[in-house]
Amino acid sequence: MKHLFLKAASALLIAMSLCSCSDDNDDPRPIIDPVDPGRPAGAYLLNQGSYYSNIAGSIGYLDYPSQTLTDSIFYTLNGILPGNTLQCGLFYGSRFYFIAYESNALFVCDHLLHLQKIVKTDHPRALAADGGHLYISNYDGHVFKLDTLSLEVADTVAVGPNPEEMAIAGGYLYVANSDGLNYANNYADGKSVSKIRLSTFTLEKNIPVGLNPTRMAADSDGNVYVIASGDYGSTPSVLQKIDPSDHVTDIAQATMMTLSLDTIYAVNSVTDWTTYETSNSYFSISTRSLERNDHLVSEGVEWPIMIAVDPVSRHLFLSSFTTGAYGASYNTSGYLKEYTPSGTPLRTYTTGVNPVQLVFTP
Amino acid sequence: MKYSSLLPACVLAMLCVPSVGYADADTVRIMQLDSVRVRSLLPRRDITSVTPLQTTDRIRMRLTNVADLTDAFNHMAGVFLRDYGGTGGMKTVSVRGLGASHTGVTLDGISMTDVQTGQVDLSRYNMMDIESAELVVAEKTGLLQSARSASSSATIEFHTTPTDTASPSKHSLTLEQGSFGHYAMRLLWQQRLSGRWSIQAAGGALRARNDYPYTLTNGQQQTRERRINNRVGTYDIGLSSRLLTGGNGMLRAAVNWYDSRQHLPGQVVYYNPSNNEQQRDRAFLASLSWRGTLFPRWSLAVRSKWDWNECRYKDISDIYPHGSWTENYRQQEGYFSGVAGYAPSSWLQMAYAVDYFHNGLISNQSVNGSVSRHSLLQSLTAVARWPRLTLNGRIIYSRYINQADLVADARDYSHWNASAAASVRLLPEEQLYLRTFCKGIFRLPTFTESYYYHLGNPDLSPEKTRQLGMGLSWQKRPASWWKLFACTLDAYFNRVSDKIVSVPMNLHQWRTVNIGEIRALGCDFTMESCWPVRPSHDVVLHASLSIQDVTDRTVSGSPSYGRQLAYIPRLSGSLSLASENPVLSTALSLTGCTHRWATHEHAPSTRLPGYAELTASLWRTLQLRGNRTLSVRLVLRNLCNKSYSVIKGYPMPGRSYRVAIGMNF
Repeated sequence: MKHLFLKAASALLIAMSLCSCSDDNDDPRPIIDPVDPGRPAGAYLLNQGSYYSNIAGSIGYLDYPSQTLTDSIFYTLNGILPGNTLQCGLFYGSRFYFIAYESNALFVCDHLLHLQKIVKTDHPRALAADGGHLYISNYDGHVFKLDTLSLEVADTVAVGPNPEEMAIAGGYLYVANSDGLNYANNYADGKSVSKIRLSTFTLEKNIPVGLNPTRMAADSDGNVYVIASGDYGSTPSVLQKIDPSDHVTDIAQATMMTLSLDTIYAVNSVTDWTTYETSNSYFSISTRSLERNDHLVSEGVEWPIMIAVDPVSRHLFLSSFTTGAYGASYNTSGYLKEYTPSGTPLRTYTTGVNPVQLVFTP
Repeated sequence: MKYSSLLPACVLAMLCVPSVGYADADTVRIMQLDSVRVRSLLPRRDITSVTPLQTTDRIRMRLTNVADLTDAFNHMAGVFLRDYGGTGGMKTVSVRGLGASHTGVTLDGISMTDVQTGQVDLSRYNMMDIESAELVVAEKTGLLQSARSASSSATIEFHTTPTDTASPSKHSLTLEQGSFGHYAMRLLWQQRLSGRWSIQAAGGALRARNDYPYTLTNGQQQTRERRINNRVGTYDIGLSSRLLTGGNGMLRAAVNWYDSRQHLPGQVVYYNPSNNEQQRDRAFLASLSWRGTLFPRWSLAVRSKWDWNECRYKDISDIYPHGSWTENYRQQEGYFSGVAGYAPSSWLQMAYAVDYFHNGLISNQSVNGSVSRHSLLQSLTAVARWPRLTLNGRIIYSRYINQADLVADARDYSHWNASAAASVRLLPEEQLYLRTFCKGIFRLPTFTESYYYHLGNPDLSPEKTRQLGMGLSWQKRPASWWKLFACTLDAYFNRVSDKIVSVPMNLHQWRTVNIGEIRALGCDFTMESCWPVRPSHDVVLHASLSIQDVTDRTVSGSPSYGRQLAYIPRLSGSLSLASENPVLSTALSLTGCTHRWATHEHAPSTRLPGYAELTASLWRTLQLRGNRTLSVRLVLRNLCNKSYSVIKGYPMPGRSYRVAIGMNF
């Protein structure tokens, strides 16, 4: 216990940067705990598993030196499975946190992925961290503020329905209110981002954005970016920018993104409902100049799930389902494709089922 | 033992043979021969059936340790019982790898349906109410079959307790109690009002807490958990009347009401045992049927029904708008069927059948609205029977018209289908038959597949099946000490094309399309043997074995291509040994299967190990004064407390008991 306190205290002293699900690849990197040097350079890959096929999630480790991806290391280390429907993970202080949506659980581990505690939550969707606190957006419309010392919920704030990802900028926590389960009413209450003052943990305002906001990130200038995913039909998925004065502007059409060193890396998947064919485009946009690069990668992946960029090597990663008999294969191993900074494919790794997030080791 | 399937027909003949006189004409020698007892074995229907037929009745259910009606299907060959566990858990039957949507269900000759999902949940049928059940592959050869009952690849036929015309009144009460808070009762009251008219009332109720323990394996850790939120409560009541009319006719009218409330435990999720799903099902059924002979050589069967059923599903959670997710569906069906049979000669019979039915579905899902379908089916059947050869042929014409008010109508469809079957008695002195059949049929897209929000596709075509089968059936009384030996061995080759599958378009969008191809090769074996130990004491052995190779044939090279379909075992079987006697009857049975996969792709973590479940039972029937009887039965299920799942994430109960007390008075 004493050891835990020591680790947590040291983490608090040095944890200054935001760290959230959508922007965990941000620069500067999360602080390396001096007590626990962690693993060599690499990344944890969260595989969501498949709820409908009752396949539990798994965590793989991408080891840069050996260029290998080893799946199920959480199970190997702890002898138990990391729950159902893994959503999001992040390094903060001396710990690695990740959440499992169906399991209603936050897993607290050390950097090497040894399990320390399982904290019960309520349908967790995303994580962010700042100032010695971990923020968990729960699909029931609340955000938990977890004290990383006691691992107890210190405070709760109500946001909009079905909150998704979060971002931290300028002393505020921004939460995307998707209202994703209200699709029959066209996501009527899901067109906003809640802005929460971190010092008081109170709702400052709801900022109107596009339909069904889900993904979020923040740049170093205090701007927040949100993807309003639309209705997956006639209303397209749009990347929007919320500046520090809460003005919202459209940037581009995109369905997923990551933000690293003030550059947004994005994928846009569009389904043509007359031919039932889905096309994917990959691009980057500088958050400062808004300069767009449509030649991000020379060849994409079949069924993109996630895009990530290593903040040090600048290598880009795309994960994907494999193609099965009936389109994307949701029950089998996916794959992770690594690219050079210029977008040339380097390697392809076989992953667990549904690789949803790559979290780079500090 | 009153062994219904073995009714030896005994014929006594006194043969007086006149002597051939070679002596004086006035001298007559009379020779009297000993009486000759000719024993002939009445062939069973499943042996003589042109298409594979498996039957069970209350006697057989006792002999095979059946405690819930659906357990009976575990003792049939070629069947996969999709069992989500426990008393209220959904149970559907897939036959010969074709999928549960291709299995039709009839109750007393009336087709039951669920146009929303395409699958009838068999858990709602109660063993205390069902007198017998039959599994028909392809179609029955009966002349007065409705066109609709011939329009499935396989059919389960349930028959409720028939009115006993022999006694003026009959009453029975069955009480049942079992593990995990299981209580059930059923009351049957029959009254003969006149020589031709009888009425029957039946009602029952069931309550089960159903919180059985199970073993959860989480990696290297095993914990004992309980299925929570698994309560179920149902009641039903039915009235029926039977009137014998002229022309050997029988008019039957029936009304039934069914009401069920249950909590759904959901699939097992690691670290989160809570679930708050609930479902209420209510159903009303009114039916009227008549069958009889109008003119010499002409027979007629007319059936009609109207049914209404409602499913109200609710998942209570703060993640939903207004604190819960509700899906309410109401279905109605009006059904009329007429079959005219004509026998132009002693060896030829022909029948024409026409069925019309209208299905409507209304839901609270604003994106679904109200949808309906008109169906018109016609069939022409010919059956030719000679002493050792039976030929059966049928053509069916189907016409379906779909309507929807808020979305595009699903595609209308019309089609001709044909089937043929033949059976040859190979040896004149043996009940040994060679049978073969072929059938092409289809199933329509369900309303969910056609209309469900985003997922549904109104342009779907029907899912088509082609069946080819051949088999042997044999029944014999090998010796006086071996009363019965009956076995069937059938091989089949089936194909499913244009299989209806939901496929992902992108991360968020799925679409239902006709894409899949399935091939099923298999072999079914059933055996029954009976040895009399003493008068009224028999030892009976039942066995079934299925070998199924059911593989995906959609896209060569894909992860699922050539692999065994999810959940279908390559080898499954059952074995039951029973001793039935007046003192205390006992039965021991084993059912099981080899390993299965929960995914078509055989994802490593979705392997389900094989299992075998051992069940035992004891029962005795006491004759009381008058015609009253009292029977007591104890069933001990899963004696070895085997922990297993039929469906991944839905554990089955461990060791449990069921006690039933039945009184006939």
